[in-house]
Amino acid sequence: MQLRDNGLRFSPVTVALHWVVAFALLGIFGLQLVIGHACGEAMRIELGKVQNLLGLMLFLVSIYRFWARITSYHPLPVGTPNPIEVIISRSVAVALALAMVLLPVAVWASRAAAGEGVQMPGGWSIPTLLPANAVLKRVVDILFNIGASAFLAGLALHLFGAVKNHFLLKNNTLKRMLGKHVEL
Amino acid sequence: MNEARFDFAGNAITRLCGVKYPIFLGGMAAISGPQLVAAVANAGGMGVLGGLRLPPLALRRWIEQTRALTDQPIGVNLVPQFGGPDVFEAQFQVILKEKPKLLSLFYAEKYAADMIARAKDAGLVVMVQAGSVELAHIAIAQGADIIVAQGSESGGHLNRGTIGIMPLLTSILAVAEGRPVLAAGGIVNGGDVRALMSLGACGVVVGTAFIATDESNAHPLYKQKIVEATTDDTEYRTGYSFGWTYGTPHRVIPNRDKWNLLRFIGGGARAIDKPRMAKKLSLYAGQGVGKIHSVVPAAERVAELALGLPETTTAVHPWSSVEPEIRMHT
Repeated sequence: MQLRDNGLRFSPVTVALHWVVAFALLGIFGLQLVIGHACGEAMRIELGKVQNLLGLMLFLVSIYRFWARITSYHPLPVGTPNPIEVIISRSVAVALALAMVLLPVAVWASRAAAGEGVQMPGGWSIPTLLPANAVLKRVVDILFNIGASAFLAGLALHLFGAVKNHFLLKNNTLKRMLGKHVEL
Repeated sequence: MNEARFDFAGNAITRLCGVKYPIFLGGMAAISGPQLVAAVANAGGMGVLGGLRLPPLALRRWIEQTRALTDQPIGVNLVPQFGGPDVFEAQFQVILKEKPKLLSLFYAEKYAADMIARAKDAGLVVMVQAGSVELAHIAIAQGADIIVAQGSESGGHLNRGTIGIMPLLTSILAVAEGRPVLAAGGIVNGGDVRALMSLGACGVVVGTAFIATDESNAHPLYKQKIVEATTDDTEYRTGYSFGWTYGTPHRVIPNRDKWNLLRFIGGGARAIDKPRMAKKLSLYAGQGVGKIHSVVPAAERVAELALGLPETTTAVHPWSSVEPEIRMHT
């Protein structure tokens, strides 16, 4: 099995992890909505733990994805795209992968600075290695908000590119990320 | 047009490659497509397809399309750096199967030791572009049949492009062990051809002048910029150019629009690209650009260049007298 991407195709590992990350993100966003509407503190705490678990999973997978992304060749684009669009789409993809490493760290740092641990289901928790510090928390929260906003903008561009390629340009870009073998 | 020049007697390069004139089209990515390559080949030159950035299937299609337009020998230029070793190997497999007459390599030092031998075993003539004597030495050691002395006057990407064509050509000739050496860089007309062949070049490689031809894949606005540019207008850069490692040297007509961030990117605009690409990028061009005054058919450009060929040729190097088949396997 091809373990790393090359200039001709994505590896099955990349394809699988792409969708793991996508569904983990959907799960985190969905849980945030549910937590907002949940009745009862106990329910909110339990859902928060599941959300934290998804965040931890996202963080660990994203470390590998980012490393793999910057140390592998990327498959050639499908069709004859505008070079500027290729530069933008690839930059956005790398930035998203990096953001999914940094944003969970920022969440952990923010909670640690607030003196809270990151609780996991089953009574586990991620240790707080930083001292409780209100100023540090404020700084981390500001950085998180900037990063999260940029991440959401990048995600929107990424989704727009996928939709444009699939429905407007009718090429195999999205299908390739769904595991279809596209001969280049 | 001087029709008498069409009686050029030929030299080592023309015999090796099976072409009428030792005038080679630069294998410019996306620009040197089937129409341009076929037009140059039909006019007696060596048309070289720009294989860089072409996925293997597209490369095969381009070769087929070119062959539908000409029965003359053609070449393909590959740059292994782009896309990684798997893309290059897949492209190379297409080359081995389709067997164009010539394989042109650029920035291929890491791969060429293996590739040149395989290409020659398949019966291809292998040409390597070198911008320094050291790179020429490497190419010779790796078995290249033809060395291109790529002077710093050249447009587009340079390897590494800090030496002018006159000192580079003569220095490479001194170490070429009799191999034919082509000159590249700022060559746009017969006078340039005459000057470089008088220095010992076996022929020339021409890029920018062929961008401004009817058959090139360049965007009309790109051709227009080539026609309008003066000799002073090009710039040597080592910043970013699309698809290349940051820092790869290249020569462009710089875009000077203050608020246009794309001006920092070197590139070529294809006919299929939106006009803003040609308007905003810094476009590849060589220092001969000031002598290009119109967009003409490629055959006319070849004829214009052929005016500079010597009317009779003398076998200067012992290499010239060796049969191509023997030479390719040495």
